[in-house]
Amino acid sequence: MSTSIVVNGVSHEVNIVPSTPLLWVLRDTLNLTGTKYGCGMGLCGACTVHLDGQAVRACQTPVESVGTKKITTIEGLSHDRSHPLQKAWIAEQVPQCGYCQSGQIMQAAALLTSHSRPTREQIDDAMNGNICRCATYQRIRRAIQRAAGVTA
Amino acid sequence: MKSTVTRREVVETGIALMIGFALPLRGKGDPEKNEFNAWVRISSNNQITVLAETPEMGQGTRTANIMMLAEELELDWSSVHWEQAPTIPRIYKDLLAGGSSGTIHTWPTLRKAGAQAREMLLAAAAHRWGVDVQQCHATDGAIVHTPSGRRVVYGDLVRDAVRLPVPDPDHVPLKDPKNFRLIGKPLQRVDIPDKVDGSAVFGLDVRRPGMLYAVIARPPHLEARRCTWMTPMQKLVQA
Repeated sequence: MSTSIVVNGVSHEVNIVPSTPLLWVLRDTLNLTGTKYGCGMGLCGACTVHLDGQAVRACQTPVESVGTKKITTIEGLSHDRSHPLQKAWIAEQVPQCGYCQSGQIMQAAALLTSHSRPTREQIDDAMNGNICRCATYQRIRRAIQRAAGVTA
Repeated sequence: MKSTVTRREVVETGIALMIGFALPLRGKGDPEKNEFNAWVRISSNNQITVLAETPEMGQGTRTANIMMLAEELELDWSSVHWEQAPTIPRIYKDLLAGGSSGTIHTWPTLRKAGAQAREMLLAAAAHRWGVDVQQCHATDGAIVHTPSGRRVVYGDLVRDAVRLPVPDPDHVPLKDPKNFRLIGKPLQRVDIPDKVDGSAVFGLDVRRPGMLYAVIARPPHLEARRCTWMTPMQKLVQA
């Protein structure tokens, strides 16, 4: 059946089983491959996207549950890597393999929306569910602090 | 090794200079049998590309490879393009990453390849100007005639340089480490920008026309045997 979703400001009609996880609609139907499949069980955070600015795990979000909420993926965070977090991620040289980083950045972006100057504890709490196999955690924290204009 | 670059593998269209040399370990292989390696491409529009064997997986070899080439070839490192070497096993022997070997393995290869290109470009410029090659030097992507200050960029020398013999990799002069501009200094990794906007392509992101997807169905216990099997479509119909 046809489902209507708004991704990065663009409306799409997708013809798909309604219980399909949003992750597969983004990656396979819309070819937005910046959002990654990590565990498929909501345990790793690699598939993090925004629904109306809130961070959610796309692998645990049936597309039928999205409704009229606006979806933002890493591709929609900015058009030119100009989001303060993207700049900070480059400045702090955060990614190694990079696979988890779309999810990390989307999780951090939701944090900065709710807490523009987060404390170290707030950062750690918010980022706790995003796993990085390369263990770039220290740099992730520094990049968030840089983007927020707060010192360590 | 006495050979002109007539057997170069030009991957892209247009006039391009591919620098290659037989691996010393393969006993100065006969160039007539295409025993060449090729790591440097210079197009006539002055685009310089390093072809690298070690895939970038976040370990930084892409950046390191660019530094090695730019060091010997006297280039602005940020102008060098990087390309994964194609799967041509007779040329590229180490299309892998593992054991922290990428930088060590590419170190002699890419420095010599860069030095060969530099020497050929120097010779081509000296010949064009009718001057002694000793009066010329390479700097910032160009050959300069030191006494007069005349200057020609690499891309404008490619047509002449490809006709010259490729210097012996065992004797091509390498830079003295005390003159290194780049190597030994921390630089920003070139693979990172694509990893902050979702544009970096990982294995899972590759799409081919008509591509099918599969996963391994693992048994729930040891020595399990398959008794029935349905295609996904059959399962969907049954459901």
